[in-house]
Amino acid sequence: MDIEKIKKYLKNYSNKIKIMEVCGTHTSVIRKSGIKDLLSDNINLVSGPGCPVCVTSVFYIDKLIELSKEYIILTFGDMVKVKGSKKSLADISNKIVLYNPMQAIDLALQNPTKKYCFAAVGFETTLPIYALMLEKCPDNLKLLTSLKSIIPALEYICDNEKTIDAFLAPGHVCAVIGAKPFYSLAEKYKKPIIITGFSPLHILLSIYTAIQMFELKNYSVKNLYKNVVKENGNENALALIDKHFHIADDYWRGIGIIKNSAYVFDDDFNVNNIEDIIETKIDGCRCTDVILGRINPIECPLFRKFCTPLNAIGPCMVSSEGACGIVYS
Amino acid sequence: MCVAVSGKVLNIENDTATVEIMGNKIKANIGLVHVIVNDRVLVHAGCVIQVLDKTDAEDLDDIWNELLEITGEN
Amino acid sequence: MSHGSGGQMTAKLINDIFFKHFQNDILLKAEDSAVLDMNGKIAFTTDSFVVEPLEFNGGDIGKLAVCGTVNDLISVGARPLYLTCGFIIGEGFSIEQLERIVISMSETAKEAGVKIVAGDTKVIETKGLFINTSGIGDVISSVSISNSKKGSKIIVTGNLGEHQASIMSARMGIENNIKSDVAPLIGLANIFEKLQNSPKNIDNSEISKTAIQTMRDITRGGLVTVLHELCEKSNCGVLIYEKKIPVCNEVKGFCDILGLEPIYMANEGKMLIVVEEKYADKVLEFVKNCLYCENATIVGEITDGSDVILKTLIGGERILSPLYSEGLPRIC
Repeated sequence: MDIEKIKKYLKNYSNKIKIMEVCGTHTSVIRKSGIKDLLSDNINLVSGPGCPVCVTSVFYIDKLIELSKEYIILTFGDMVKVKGSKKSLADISNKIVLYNPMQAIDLALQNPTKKYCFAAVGFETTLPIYALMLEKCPDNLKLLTSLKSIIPALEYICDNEKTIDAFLAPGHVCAVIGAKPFYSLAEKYKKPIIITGFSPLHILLSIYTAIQMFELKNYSVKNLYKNVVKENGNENALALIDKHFHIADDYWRGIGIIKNSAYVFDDDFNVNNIEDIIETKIDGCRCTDVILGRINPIECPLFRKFCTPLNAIGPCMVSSEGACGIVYS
Repeated sequence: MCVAVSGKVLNIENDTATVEIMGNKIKANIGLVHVIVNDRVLVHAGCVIQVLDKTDAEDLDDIWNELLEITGEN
Repeated sequence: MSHGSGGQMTAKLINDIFFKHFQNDILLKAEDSAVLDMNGKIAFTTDSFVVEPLEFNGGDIGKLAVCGTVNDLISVGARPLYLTCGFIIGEGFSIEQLERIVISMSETAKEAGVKIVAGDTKVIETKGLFINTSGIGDVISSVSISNSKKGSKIIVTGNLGEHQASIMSARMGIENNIKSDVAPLIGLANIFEKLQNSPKNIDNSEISKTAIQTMRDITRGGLVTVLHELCEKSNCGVLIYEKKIPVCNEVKGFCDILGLEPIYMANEGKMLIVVEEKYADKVLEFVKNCLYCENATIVGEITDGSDVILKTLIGGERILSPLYSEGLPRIC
């Protein structure tokens, strides 16, 4: 494999193409490895909705804060600074930050008289782990879920945002759901979709492949992460997910209601009737356009001037996987 | 969304594996994937999410073969 | 509590632990102040230490308290001479643990060639142990954070991230052999003396007395934080190379698990040295022969821009922004 030849090709590419990399971790690796420097200006790499914290509704945070009066909130670090309608989890003391959801089970078992609520946020990568939690969840541990499905979000983007020419699919979501669910997406919307790993080299090669397929009008799925992603995904994990969760409509912050885009389970705390959710738009905030890949963060008028990690206005700046937070850093 | 690391399974006790990642040992739940000792695995959020049956070099070879399929080039 | 009240119990504590282990001619005079003979310019610094846990793989709060202040003196081109230390001890604190920590301080002070000449002890209700050290030294050479010149090379004296990884590993339940790198970098003070004293000063090569422009202790916030301070004060930019950054495999693995980066992580025994380009290789060889600096390497250079830029492994460039929060490990 002649990597230098591939790099030269990408630096000199003269047609215009817009590629969306969906996953927040891809955005982060792209930023940290400086891959964009290796690409011609004609290759527009935009990030997408694959940052679970960024697309979690304001009302979810409000509900957690409400629940903290009765439950100790267990959460990932990312969620702590995201603002609800008034406050964030940083403003409450009744919380513990975890990096491993299964720690919540141990905590609840070791403290049977205490009541815990886990802020269960994520996409399909983390979903089976929550299903595992539900297999042995003690009574004093509840989940408040904001668990989203990536395919409906991509369909929404393809329906509403026609300028994207190809997608880099999130490799670890695919580890769970497999390559298959992307076939109909590629065929219906006529877009090459590359299932992509997480090293800078994986991503570079995926970008190259996307361009080749785009040039050849090859609108199909290419799996460039076969060591991790199998055709049918992880059947064990999918069975567990099926056992505990069902599909429902969901509200995506900055986007609105996307049908059949959430995983919920029966004992889930109810956030709100999603039809009643009305979000206040903040003047100038263009998180929606960033999440939908319409603009890059630097094109938002608030970016860096008013919206910074220390004073985050929109969710894309708060989360370490949000496009704005990553570009700022 | 997808931060994960690869490592080697050192031992297994009930539903927990000890996974070694460049000299660091962590515990990971194995409820999602069947693993045995010495397997190379991918760990996300304290759970093993995949067994890796190829080396990094073999993985790159795979990618190259896929590319050749599309472009027919050398 | 009564140990801190100034009575007989206090005197006993001071004698049995502090005087016993910090023994030196000045301290044992037991005056209210230490009286010292000094020549010329003096460097003077202070630092306080509140680390938890108090004892960790590779060191303890006492060793940290000596090394932190000693290294700060060395980084302004001074030979460290005297320290003071103030102890704030929580009621009920174990005397055995206190003695262990004091012994560790004494051994580290001996290694660094410094005398602990004055101190203070207070006992309070809050649990824990907090130490302050102040230190003075003779200024041998005028290095400065404002002195870095375009084209000069940047040396890092060894592997990054070990102190923070060692402390966090215990907290996050990750098992490894990572030890804190806490150490007194006294060998580096010898470089200044050699440079000042003779024309053929290092390995028989003549190196200008002003070859070393800047030195800085790389502590909290990591290498990137120091580089930003340097750029601001020297009005310059920096270019460093990812392939040159010294990190051991274990720390790399640790960072991969938690989504952290070694260039942003705390150290307690690493120095940044900016050297005039033509002398950089020779100075590097000398640094590598100093204790605790065997993995020293040139990681980059001073530029005439204003940003801190990293040339990545894959060949891209990344602007490294300052660390704005010591964020929790990423997972999702």
